[in-house]
Amino acid sequence: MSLIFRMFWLLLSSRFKPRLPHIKPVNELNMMVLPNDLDINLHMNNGRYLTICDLSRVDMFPIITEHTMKYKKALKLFQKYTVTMTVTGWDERSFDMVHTFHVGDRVVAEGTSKGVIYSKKDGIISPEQVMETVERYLNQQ
Amino acid sequence: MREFSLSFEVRWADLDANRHMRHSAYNDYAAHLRVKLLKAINLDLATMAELNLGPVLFREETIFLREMGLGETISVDIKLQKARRDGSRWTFVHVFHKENGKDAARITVDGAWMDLQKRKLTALPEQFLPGLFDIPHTEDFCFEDKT
Repeated sequence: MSLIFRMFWLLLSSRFKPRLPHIKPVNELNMMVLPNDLDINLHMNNGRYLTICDLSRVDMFPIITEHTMKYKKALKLFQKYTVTMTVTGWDERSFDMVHTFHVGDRVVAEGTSKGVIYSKKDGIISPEQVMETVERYLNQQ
Repeated sequence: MREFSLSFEVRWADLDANRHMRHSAYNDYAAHLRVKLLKAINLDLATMAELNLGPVLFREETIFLREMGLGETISVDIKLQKARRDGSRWTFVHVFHKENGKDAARITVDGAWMDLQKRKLTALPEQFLPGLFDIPHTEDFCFEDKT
């Protein structure tokens, strides 16, 4: 995570947002292209999209094992955009996520990623076990 | 050109909360390697600025195989997997190797050249084609036809 200030802002502002549902969670962030996001082509650098995807996953903190991005339209300086992260499913090992960058109704980039939840004690924890734990925690609350 | 690679040490700034190299740092190092590669074929930033030319990516696929920790020395190599004969489109494969020789990640990018004045895709000027095709090829390298 290299966007320290944006991450702190996100962590702070998320305290005032409703919790994500644990069934089909969709996280949405409204962002703007800043000067340090640009490359020599004066559009948002490709690596920055991946870092922004990190921000949209901050609630989960998974270890990413695969990530593919498709770039359709360039994002320019000070352009506002929305990035959504949807957990679309999981298998016995990893969660599947879809990331979409929108400007208004237009999709400017989209990607997919796979991530695992890792514990130092138990190694990789299966998504099923993660979901059971979350559900149990929510029921207790 | 027989091989083109870069070695680097994983820095503090490359780490994430899991204390291993953050995933977007792999892509940053791959981009750095591509810029060095372009410089090696005489397409440095000054030349690109003069020609109003810039590389753009359409797709970037990263597969993470092993984690990398602080201070580890990593080497990355780059190969050309696909290209159009006019150099207008290309696919590069980058492989990250750990010190013990095991693969740590594999990044595949599809890209093209953009005319920065017209903001349109363009072909690579002919004088750079020999350099582009001299880049080491993957075993499955092929020329791609326009569709």
